[in-house]
Amino acid sequence: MTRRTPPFDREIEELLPLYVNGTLGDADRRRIDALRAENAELDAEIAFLSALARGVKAAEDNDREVRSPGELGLRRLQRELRVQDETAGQTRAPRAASPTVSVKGGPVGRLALVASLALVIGLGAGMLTMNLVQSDRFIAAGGDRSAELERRGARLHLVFRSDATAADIETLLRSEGLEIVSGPSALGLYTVAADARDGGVQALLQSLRARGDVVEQVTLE
Amino acid sequence: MTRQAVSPDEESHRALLRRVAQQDHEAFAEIYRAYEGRVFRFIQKKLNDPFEAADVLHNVFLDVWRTAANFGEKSRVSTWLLGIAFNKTMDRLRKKSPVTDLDDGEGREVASDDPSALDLIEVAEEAAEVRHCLDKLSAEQRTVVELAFYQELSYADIAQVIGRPEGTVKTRVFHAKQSLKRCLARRLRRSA
Repeated sequence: MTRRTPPFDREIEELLPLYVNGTLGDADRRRIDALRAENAELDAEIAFLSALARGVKAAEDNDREVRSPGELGLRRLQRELRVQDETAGQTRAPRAASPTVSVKGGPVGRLALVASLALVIGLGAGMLTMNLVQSDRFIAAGGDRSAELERRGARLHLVFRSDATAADIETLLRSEGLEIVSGPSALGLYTVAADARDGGVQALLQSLRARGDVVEQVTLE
Repeated sequence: MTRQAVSPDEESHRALLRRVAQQDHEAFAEIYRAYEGRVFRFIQKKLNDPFEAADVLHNVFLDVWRTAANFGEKSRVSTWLLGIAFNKTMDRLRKKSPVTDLDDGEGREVASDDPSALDLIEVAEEAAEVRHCLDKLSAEQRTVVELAFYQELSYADIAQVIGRPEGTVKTRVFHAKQSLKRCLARRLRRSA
Protein backbone atom coordinates (compact mmCIF):
# COMPACT_ATOMS: atom_id res chain seq x y z
CA MET A 1 0.00 0.00 0.00
CA THR A 2 1.23 3.45 -0.73
CA ARG A 3 1.73 6.28 1.69
CA ARG A 4 -0.72 9.11 1.19
CA THR A 5 0.69 12.58 1.08
CA PRO A 6 -1.65 15.08 2.65
CA PRO A 7 -2.32 18.10 0.48
CA PHE A 8 -0.88 20.48 3.04
CA ASP A 9 2.73 20.83 3.95
CA ARG A 10 4.55 19.89 7.12
CA GLU A 11 4.77 23.47 8.31
CA ILE A 12 0.99 23.71 8.33
CA GLU A 13 0.66 20.26 9.89
CA GLU A 14 2.95 21.28 12.73
CA LEU A 15 0.76 24.28 13.47
CA LEU A 16 -2.38 22.20 13.86
CA PRO A 17 -1.87 21.02 17.45
CA LEU A 18 -1.60 24.67 18.46
CA TYR A 19 -4.63 25.54 16.36
CA VAL A 20 -6.55 22.89 18.28
CA ASN A 21 -5.26 23.77 21.75
CA GLY A 22 -5.88 27.48 21.27
CA THR A 23 -2.32 28.73 21.55
CA LEU A 24 -1.78 29.60 17.90
CA GLY A 25 -1.22 33.25 17.07
CA ASP A 26 -3.94 35.17 15.28
CA ALA A 27 -2.13 35.45 11.93
CA ASP A 28 -1.46 31.72 11.70
CA ARG A 29 -4.98 30.95 12.87
CA ARG A 30 -6.47 33.08 10.10
CA ARG A 31 -4.13 31.40 7.62
CA ILE A 32 -5.32 27.95 8.64
CA ASP A 33 -8.96 29.04 8.71
CA ALA A 34 -8.60 30.15 5.10
CA LEU A 35 -6.90 26.91 4.02
CA ARG A 36 -9.37 24.80 5.95
CA ALA A 37 -12.32 26.27 4.09
CA GLU A 38 -11.03 24.93 0.79
CA ASN A 39 -9.23 21.78 1.88
CA ALA A 40 -11.25 18.81 3.09
CA GLU A 41 -8.17 16.83 4.15
CA LEU A 42 -6.99 19.67 6.34
CA ASP A 43 -10.45 20.01 7.81
CA ALA A 44 -10.49 16.27 8.58
CA GLU A 45 -7.06 16.47 10.15
CA ILE A 46 -8.22 19.26 12.43
CA ALA A 47 -11.33 17.29 13.35
CA PHE A 48 -9.13 14.29 14.15
CA LEU A 49 -6.78 16.35 16.30
CA SER A 50 -9.70 17.93 18.15
CA ALA A 51 -11.09 14.45 18.83
CA LEU A 52 -7.64 13.28 19.90
CA ALA A 53 -7.32 16.20 22.31
CA ARG A 54 -10.66 15.24 23.85
CA GLY A 55 -9.54 11.61 23.98
CA VAL A 56 -6.24 12.53 25.66
CA LYS A 57 -8.08 14.62 28.24
CA ALA A 58 -10.55 11.81 28.91
CA ALA A 59 -7.75 9.25 29.19
CA GLU A 60 -5.73 11.46 31.51
CA ASP A 61 -8.73 12.40 33.62
CA ASN A 62 -9.66 8.75 34.05
CA ASP A 63 -6.25 8.24 35.59
CA ARG A 64 -6.79 11.04 38.09
CA GLU A 65 -8.29 8.97 40.85
CA VAL A 66 -5.21 9.46 43.00
CA ARG A 67 -5.89 12.53 45.04
CA SER A 68 -3.36 15.28 45.27
CA PRO A 69 -2.03 16.24 48.72
CA GLY A 70 -4.28 19.31 48.74
CA GLU A 71 -4.50 21.24 51.97
CA LEU A 72 -2.39 18.69 53.80
CA GLY A 73 0.42 19.32 51.36
CA LEU A 74 0.08 23.04 51.96
CA ARG A 75 0.23 22.58 55.72
CA ARG A 76 3.33 20.41 55.30
CA LEU A 77 4.95 23.16 53.26
CA GLN A 78 3.92 25.86 55.70
CA ARG A 79 5.36 23.85 58.56
CA GLU A 80 8.66 23.48 56.78
CA LEU A 81 8.78 27.15 55.84
CA ARG A 82 8.09 28.16 59.43
CA VAL A 83 10.83 25.86 60.61
CA GLN A 84 13.17 27.40 58.08
CA ASP A 85 12.18 30.87 59.26
CA GLU A 86 12.81 29.85 62.86
CA THR A 87 16.11 28.29 61.92
CA ALA A 88 17.13 31.35 59.95
CA GLY A 89 16.22 33.48 62.95
CA GLN A 90 18.34 31.30 65.21
CA THR A 91 21.22 31.40 62.77
CA ARG A 92 21.07 35.16 62.55
CA ALA A 93 20.86 35.58 66.31
CA PRO A 94 24.18 36.20 67.99
CA ARG A 95 25.44 33.47 70.29
CA ALA A 96 22.79 30.99 69.21
CA ALA A 97 22.03 28.46 71.88
CA SER A 98 22.96 25.48 69.76
CA PRO A 99 24.85 25.10 66.51
CA THR A 100 22.96 23.82 63.47
CA VAL A 101 24.18 21.14 61.16
CA SER A 102 22.68 20.96 57.69
CA VAL A 103 21.31 17.61 56.68
CA LYS A 104 19.44 17.24 53.37
CA GLY A 105 18.69 20.94 53.20
CA GLY A 106 17.57 21.35 56.79
CA PRO A 107 19.08 21.53 60.22
CA VAL A 108 19.06 18.59 62.55
CA GLY A 109 17.52 20.81 65.17
CA ARG A 110 14.41 21.25 63.08
CA LEU A 111 13.04 17.89 64.13
CA ALA A 112 12.00 19.15 67.53
CA LEU A 113 10.45 22.23 65.99
CA VAL A 114 8.59 20.16 63.44
CA ALA A 115 7.26 17.93 66.16
CA SER A 116 5.91 20.81 68.18
CA LEU A 117 4.45 22.57 65.15
CA ALA A 118 2.95 19.33 63.91
CA LEU A 119 1.08 18.97 67.16
CA VAL A 120 -0.37 22.46 66.89
CA ILE A 121 -1.32 22.00 63.25
CA GLY A 122 -2.75 18.57 63.87
CA LEU A 123 -5.03 20.08 66.48
CA GLY A 124 -6.01 22.84 64.11
CA ALA A 125 -6.83 20.36 61.40
CA GLY A 126 -9.30 18.68 63.70
CA MET A 127 -8.90 14.94 63.56
CA LEU A 128 -12.61 14.42 63.54
CA THR A 129 -13.01 11.01 65.09
CA MET A 130 -10.11 11.14 67.46
CA ASN A 131 -9.44 12.46 70.89
CA LEU A 132 -6.06 13.71 71.84
CA VAL A 133 -4.67 11.90 74.84
CA GLN A 134 -1.25 12.82 76.09
CA SER A 135 1.20 14.54 73.77
CA ASP A 136 1.08 13.00 70.31
CA ARG A 137 -0.88 9.87 71.04
CA PHE A 138 -4.29 9.66 69.38
CA ILE A 139 -6.95 7.16 70.31
CA ALA A 140 -10.01 6.37 68.23
CA ALA A 141 -13.18 8.00 69.49
CA GLY A 142 -14.62 4.59 70.23
CA GLY A 143 -11.85 3.87 72.71
CA ASP A 144 -8.66 1.85 72.56
CA ARG A 145 -9.70 -1.58 71.29
CA SER A 146 -6.19 -2.69 70.47
CA ALA A 147 -5.94 -5.18 73.32
CA GLU A 148 -8.85 -7.13 71.88
CA LEU A 149 -7.46 -7.57 68.40
CA GLU A 150 -4.98 -9.73 66.60
CA ARG A 151 -2.94 -7.86 64.06
CA ARG A 152 -4.09 -10.03 61.15
CA GLY A 153 -6.27 -7.83 58.96
CA ALA A 154 -6.32 -5.00 61.50
CA ARG A 155 -6.64 -1.58 59.94
CA LEU A 156 -4.92 1.53 61.18
CA HIS A 157 -4.99 5.17 60.26
CA LEU A 158 -1.59 6.76 59.81
CA VAL A 159 -0.38 10.27 59.25
CA PHE A 160 3.23 10.50 58.24
CA ARG A 161 5.56 13.27 59.28
CA SER A 162 5.88 16.12 56.85
CA ASP A 163 9.60 15.53 56.50
CA ALA A 164 9.32 11.77 55.98
CA THR A 165 10.47 10.77 52.53
CA ALA A 166 8.77 8.23 50.30
CA ALA A 167 11.69 5.88 50.97
CA ASP A 168 11.28 6.28 54.77
CA ILE A 169 7.60 5.47 54.50
CA GLU A 170 8.09 2.53 52.19
CA THR A 171 10.78 1.04 54.44
CA LEU A 172 8.61 1.42 57.52
CA LEU A 173 5.57 -0.15 55.87
CA ARG A 174 7.62 -3.09 54.69
CA SER A 175 9.32 -3.64 58.02
CA GLU A 176 6.01 -3.55 59.90
CA GLY A 177 4.17 -5.67 57.36
CA LEU A 178 1.66 -2.98 56.45
CA GLU A 179 -0.09 -2.31 53.20
CA ILE A 180 -1.77 0.92 52.24
CA VAL A 181 -5.45 0.36 51.61
CA SER A 182 -6.45 3.93 50.87
CA GLY A 183 -5.35 7.50 51.21
CA PRO A 184 -4.22 10.06 51.63
CA SER A 185 -7.46 11.71 52.71
CA ALA A 186 -7.84 15.45 52.65
CA LEU A 187 -6.30 15.44 56.12
CA GLY A 188 -3.46 13.21 55.05
CA LEU A 189 -4.75 10.04 56.65
CA TYR A 190 -3.67 6.74 55.17
CA THR A 191 -5.54 3.56 55.98
CA VAL A 192 -3.22 0.58 56.22
CA ALA A 193 -3.88 -3.12 56.79
CA ALA A 194 -1.57 -5.33 58.82
CA ASP A 195 -0.40 -8.66 57.46
CA ALA A 196 -0.69 -12.00 59.21
CA ARG A 197 2.46 -11.89 61.32
CA ASP A 198 2.39 -13.00 64.91
CA GLY A 199 1.53 -10.46 67.54
CA GLY A 200 -1.31 -8.23 68.48
CA VAL A 201 -2.33 -4.79 67.43
CA GLN A 202 -1.05 -3.32 70.67
CA ALA A 203 2.49 -4.31 69.83
CA LEU A 204 2.10 -2.95 66.34
CA LEU A 205 0.77 0.37 67.62
CA GLN A 206 3.65 0.63 70.07
CA SER A 207 6.13 -0.12 67.35
CA LEU A 208 4.67 2.55 65.09
CA ARG A 209 4.47 5.09 67.89
CA ALA A 210 8.13 4.48 68.52
CA ARG A 211 8.84 5.56 64.95
CA GLY A 212 8.30 9.25 65.57
CA ASP A 213 10.85 9.97 62.88
CA VAL A 214 8.35 8.85 60.24
CA VAL A 215 4.93 8.57 61.87
CA GLU A 216 3.14 11.64 63.12
CA GLN A 217 -0.07 9.96 64.25
CA VAL A 218 -1.37 6.43 64.41
CA THR A 219 -4.82 5.21 65.40
CA LEU A 220 -6.78 2.02 65.19
CA GLU A 221 -9.58 2.15 62.65
CA MET B 1 3.40 31.98 16.07
CA THR B 2 1.88 31.87 19.52
CA ARG B 3 -0.39 34.17 21.38
CA GLN B 4 1.27 36.12 24.14
CA ALA B 5 -1.75 37.94 25.56
CA VAL B 6 -1.84 37.87 29.35
CA SER B 7 -5.21 36.91 30.81
CA PRO B 8 -6.53 38.50 34.01
CA ASP B 9 -5.97 35.20 35.82
CA GLU B 10 -2.43 35.04 34.57
CA GLU B 11 -1.77 38.60 35.64
CA SER B 12 -3.17 37.93 39.11
CA HIS B 13 -1.00 34.84 39.42
CA ARG B 14 2.06 36.81 38.36
CA ALA B 15 1.20 39.35 41.03
CA LEU B 16 0.97 36.52 43.55
CA LEU B 17 4.43 35.30 42.55
CA ARG B 18 5.81 38.80 43.03
CA ARG B 19 4.40 38.70 46.56
CA VAL B 20 5.83 35.23 47.11
CA ALA B 21 9.21 36.65 46.14
CA GLN B 22 8.72 39.03 49.07
CA GLN B 23 8.11 35.96 51.31
CA ASP B 24 4.35 36.55 51.55
CA HIS B 25 2.90 33.35 53.02
CA GLU B 26 -0.70 34.14 52.01
CA ALA B 27 0.29 34.62 48.38
CA PHE B 28 2.22 31.37 48.54
CA ALA B 29 -0.89 29.54 49.76
CA GLU B 30 -2.93 31.06 46.94
CA ILE B 31 -0.43 30.03 44.29
CA TYR B 32 -0.28 26.56 45.80
CA ARG B 33 -4.06 26.19 45.74
CA ALA B 34 -4.25 27.46 42.18
CA TYR B 35 -1.70 25.03 40.75
CA GLU B 36 -1.18 22.15 43.18
CA GLY B 37 -3.63 19.75 41.59
CA ARG B 38 -2.43 20.39 38.06
CA VAL B 39 1.25 20.10 38.96
CA PHE B 40 0.65 17.01 41.09
CA ARG B 41 -1.13 15.25 38.24
CA PHE B 42 1.69 16.15 35.87
CA ILE B 43 4.23 14.60 38.26
CA GLN B 44 2.09 11.61 39.22
CA LYS B 45 1.59 10.75 35.58
CA LYS B 46 5.31 10.32 35.17
CA LEU B 47 6.17 8.68 38.48
CA ASN B 48 3.00 6.62 38.84
CA ASP B 49 3.53 6.69 42.58
CA PRO B 50 1.47 9.08 44.71
CA PHE B 51 3.97 9.02 47.60
CA GLU B 52 6.83 10.07 45.40
CA ALA B 53 4.67 12.49 43.47
CA ALA B 54 3.67 14.17 46.73
CA ASP B 55 7.35 14.42 47.70
CA VAL B 56 8.28 15.95 44.38
CA LEU B 57 5.33 18.35 44.55
CA HIS B 58 6.52 19.42 47.99
CA ASN B 59 9.99 20.14 46.62
CA VAL B 60 8.56 22.00 43.63
CA PHE B 61 6.71 24.42 45.87
CA LEU B 62 9.70 24.81 48.17
CA ASP B 63 11.55 25.89 45.04
CA VAL B 64 8.73 28.27 44.21
CA TRP B 65 9.13 29.85 47.63
CA ARG B 66 12.89 30.15 47.26
CA THR B 67 13.08 31.23 43.63
CA ALA B 68 9.91 33.20 42.93
CA ALA B 69 12.09 36.25 42.36
CA ASN B 70 13.60 34.44 39.38
CA PHE B 71 10.29 34.24 37.57
CA GLY B 72 10.99 36.47 34.63
CA GLU B 73 7.38 36.97 33.51
CA LYS B 74 8.41 36.04 29.98
CA SER B 75 6.47 32.82 30.32
CA ARG B 76 3.20 31.84 31.89
CA VAL B 77 3.19 30.97 35.57
CA SER B 78 1.98 27.46 34.71
CA THR B 79 4.87 27.00 32.28
CA TRP B 80 7.38 28.07 34.90
CA LEU B 81 5.86 25.73 37.50
CA LEU B 82 5.61 22.77 35.13
CA GLY B 83 9.24 23.36 34.15
CA ILE B 84 10.34 23.08 37.78
CA ALA B 85 8.13 20.01 38.18
CA PHE B 86 9.50 18.41 35.03
CA ASN B 87 13.12 18.85 36.11
CA LYS B 88 12.50 17.50 39.60
CA THR B 89 10.52 14.58 38.24
CA MET B 90 13.24 13.70 35.77
CA ASP B 91 15.82 13.92 38.55
CA ARG B 92 13.73 11.50 40.59
CA LEU B 93 13.35 9.13 37.66
CA ARG B 94 17.08 9.22 36.95
CA LYS B 95 17.82 8.33 40.57
CA LYS B 96 15.43 5.39 40.36
CA SER B 97 16.67 4.20 37.01
CA PRO B 98 19.78 5.75 35.47
CA VAL B 99 18.81 4.49 32.03
CA THR B 100 15.71 6.67 32.05
CA ASP B 101 16.77 9.59 29.99
CA LEU B 102 15.61 11.67 27.14
CA ASP B 103 15.75 10.46 23.62
CA ASP B 104 13.54 11.34 20.76
CA GLY B 105 12.00 7.94 20.55
CA GLU B 106 11.11 8.58 16.95
CA GLY B 107 12.38 5.21 15.83
CA ARG B 108 9.69 3.51 17.89
CA GLU B 109 6.98 4.19 15.39
CA VAL B 110 5.51 1.11 13.90
CA ALA B 111 5.59 1.20 10.13
CA SER B 112 2.11 1.18 8.76
CA ASP B 113 0.00 2.90 6.22
CA ASP B 114 -1.21 6.31 7.14
CA PRO B 115 -4.84 6.08 8.10
CA SER B 116 -7.47 8.56 7.09
CA ALA B 117 -7.93 11.20 9.74
CA LEU B 118 -11.65 11.16 9.11
CA ASP B 119 -11.85 7.45 9.87
CA LEU B 120 -10.13 7.91 13.19
CA ILE B 121 -12.22 10.67 14.70
CA GLU B 122 -14.54 8.36 16.60
CA VAL B 123 -11.84 6.10 18.01
CA ALA B 124 -9.70 9.10 18.94
CA GLU B 125 -12.35 10.22 21.40
CA GLU B 126 -12.46 6.92 23.24
CA ALA B 127 -10.44 7.24 26.42
CA ALA B 128 -9.54 3.56 26.65
CA GLU B 129 -8.22 3.43 23.11
CA VAL B 130 -6.29 6.64 23.49
CA ARG B 131 -4.83 5.49 26.80
CA HIS B 132 -3.67 2.26 25.19
CA CYS B 133 -1.97 4.20 22.42
CA LEU B 134 -0.48 6.79 24.78
CA ASP B 135 1.11 3.92 26.67
CA LYS B 136 2.83 2.84 23.46
CA LEU B 137 4.56 6.19 23.03
CA SER B 138 8.03 6.86 24.30
CA ALA B 139 8.14 8.82 27.56
CA GLU B 140 9.38 11.85 25.64
CA GLN B 141 6.58 11.72 23.11
CA ARG B 142 3.97 11.14 25.78
CA THR B 143 5.23 14.15 27.71
CA VAL B 144 4.87 16.51 24.76
CA VAL B 145 1.45 15.09 23.88
CA GLU B 146 0.28 15.67 27.43
CA LEU B 147 1.71 19.18 27.45
CA ALA B 148 0.17 20.03 24.09
CA PHE B 149 -3.23 18.40 24.36
CA TYR B 150 -3.87 18.21 28.11
CA GLN B 151 -2.00 21.18 29.50
CA GLU B 152 -2.66 23.10 26.26
CA LEU B 153 0.75 24.71 26.05
CA SER B 154 2.35 26.27 22.99
CA TYR B 155 5.52 24.80 21.51
CA ALA B 156 7.52 27.61 23.06
CA ASP B 157 6.07 26.86 26.48
CA ILE B 158 6.61 23.13 26.09
CA ALA B 159 10.20 23.83 25.07
CA GLN B 160 10.66 25.83 28.23
CA VAL B 161 9.12 23.14 30.40
CA ILE B 162 11.26 20.30 29.08
CA GLY B 163 14.35 22.39 28.40
CA ARG B 164 14.63 21.48 24.74
CA PRO B 165 14.60 23.61 21.58
CA GLU B 166 11.24 24.50 20.10
CA GLY B 167 12.15 22.63 16.91
CA THR B 168 12.66 19.45 18.91
CA VAL B 169 9.26 19.89 20.48
CA LYS B 170 7.60 20.34 17.09
CA THR B 171 9.28 17.21 15.81
CA ARG B 172 8.30 15.20 18.87
CA VAL B 173 4.67 16.30 18.68
CA PHE B 174 4.59 15.56 14.96
CA HIS B 175 5.96 12.04 15.36
CA ALA B 176 3.86 11.37 18.44
CA LYS B 177 0.75 12.34 16.50
CA GLN B 178 1.72 10.03 13.66
CA SER B 179 2.33 7.19 16.09
CA LEU B 180 -1.02 7.76 17.77
CA LYS B 181 -2.75 7.77 14.41
CA ARG B 182 -1.21 4.48 13.44
CA CYS B 183 -1.94 2.91 16.78
CA LEU B 184 -5.55 4.08 16.68
CA ALA B 185 -5.89 2.77 13.13
CA ARG B 186 -4.75 -0.66 14.28
CA ARG B 187 -7.21 -0.54 17.16
CA LEU B 188 -9.96 0.46 14.76
CA ARG B 189 -9.15 -2.41 12.40
CA ARG B 190 -9.04 -4.85 15.31
CA SER B 191 -12.46 -3.83 16.54
CA ALA B 192 -14.01 -3.84 13.06
